[in-house]
Amino acid sequence: MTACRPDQGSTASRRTPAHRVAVVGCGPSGCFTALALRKKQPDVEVVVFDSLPTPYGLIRYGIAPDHQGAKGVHRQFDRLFGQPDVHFAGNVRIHDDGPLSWNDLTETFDAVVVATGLPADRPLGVPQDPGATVLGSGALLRLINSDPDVPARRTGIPDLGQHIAIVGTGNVAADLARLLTKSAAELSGSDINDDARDGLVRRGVRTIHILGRSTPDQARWDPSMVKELAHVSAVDLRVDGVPHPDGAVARGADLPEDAVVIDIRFRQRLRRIESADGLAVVVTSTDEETEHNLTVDTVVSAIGFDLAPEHPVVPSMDADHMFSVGGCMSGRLGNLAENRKLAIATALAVSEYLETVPPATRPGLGGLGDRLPTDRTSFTDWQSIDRAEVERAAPDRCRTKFTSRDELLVAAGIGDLVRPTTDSPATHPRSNR
Amino acid sequence: MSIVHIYYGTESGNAEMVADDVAEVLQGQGLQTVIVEMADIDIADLADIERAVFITSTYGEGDLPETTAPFHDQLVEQRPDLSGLSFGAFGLGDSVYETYNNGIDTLRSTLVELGARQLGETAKHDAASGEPATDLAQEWATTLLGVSA
Repeated sequence: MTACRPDQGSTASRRTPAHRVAVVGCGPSGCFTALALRKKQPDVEVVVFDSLPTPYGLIRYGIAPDHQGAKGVHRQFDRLFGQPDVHFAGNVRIHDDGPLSWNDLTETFDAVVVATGLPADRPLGVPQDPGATVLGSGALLRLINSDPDVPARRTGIPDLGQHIAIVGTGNVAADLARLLTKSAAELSGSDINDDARDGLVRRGVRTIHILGRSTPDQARWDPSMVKELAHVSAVDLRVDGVPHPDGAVARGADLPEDAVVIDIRFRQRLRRIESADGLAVVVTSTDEETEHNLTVDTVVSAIGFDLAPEHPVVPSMDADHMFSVGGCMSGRLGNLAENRKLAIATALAVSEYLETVPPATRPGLGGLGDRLPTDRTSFTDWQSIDRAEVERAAPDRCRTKFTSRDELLVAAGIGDLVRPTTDSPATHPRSNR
Repeated sequence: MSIVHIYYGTESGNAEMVADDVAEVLQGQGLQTVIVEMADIDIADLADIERAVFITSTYGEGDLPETTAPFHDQLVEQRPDLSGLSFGAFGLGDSVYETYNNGIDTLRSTLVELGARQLGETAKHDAASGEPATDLAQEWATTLLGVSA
């Protein structure tokens, strides 16, 4: 890495891009890679694809809706997409059984970066009685973040009941416990999906058990996340039975009558999940001999994320101009800072590779022709969606997100209509699936 | 004319964006700028620099981000004479956390201790405000060096 980076002047002229790079996945890793690549090599054209009509992936659908400050990282990417030769192509699915395959990308771009993340909740990996309700924390967070593709959108908002066990002591566990217990006032300024949140806790939560395998010191969450949880007005936070030093009890703060006990237990090895009378029985052990039973309405897994079951591996990763970045490369979700570092490293590798490739030989986006769906979304379309969501914000909410792909496309001005495009030779029906 | 060195330390890239914003404003005032990540600063060079801007976020429990901390550690250990240096200080934080914007305060007081003179007020952006850091950066940088645009 060079010690010093001269400022980019404002004299950049429009030239034919030297190279064209496709990034698949417009979450933070894909965007950080595109950003770093453009800083390193301003004459590279970058197209960032996403299967959703909206950009920003985990920033929009993963980061907690009451952490708008953390979501603010998108401003870096807004600026990126404002540059000439950086394009967003949303609502485009790349699939070998679809109109646009991985092979199509590798043939039309000089390099392809796979940044598809880790969309699936990691299974608990213990025997589970099918009568017990076990849900994934990632899916729940996506639900209260209005992800249109989360299955509960179709099947109905689940009722988490009054007693919940969350397995895992990472930031996602803390996010979920906080979002299920904050008062309406404490959610002011967020963009939480109120219907989803209220539906999940429709019977009023009484207890949340958070079960961790590790010792307190080894827990994956940031200490600041636990502190934040301790300050939720209706939460009585206890760690291994002892009131948390920052919690209401230790602070001498008044707890409301409907306070929620959040009971964090460490050194709990999960054995199995049984069911009894429609409830879930979580069986843990702290040593080889003794087992403990915990009866709850719902168990939530929060032990990490995996590749999507339908895409266990990315095809043709052996091609020398394919790169991967972020969760789908590292196998762990990580935080923004870690993934930004990975992205900078990947951008450097891509840049070094491009130095070995003759310029201007691959057509890029234009070369995909009618393999691109006509109802794909551009960055301008996203700006229309963004404005519409902010304009329709409910009281005390910074935005109210659309919860279906159809609504998003209508807000983008696409709807079910075939959009007249300037860069597509012919109109044809929706072709992406 | 001397070059204004813009140093940033970041975790998620926001401080780097602010560095770009500040550079743009100063360039608009006819100044030359160089942007350097704090991790890449050679402490030995710092004593010869007349004007600089330091931009850092806060990480975790009020700590300096990974790219600021080693630079700060070296300052504390090597204690260079910075009496020739005038600097502006810009912090990024998130008031969701108690230790919001501790990072820039830590760095600022070390620089002053080493003889550097601070220009203007320390700017502190709160991510939770929902306001773009860019807006604050542009406003702050415009008057920082007392140069009219």
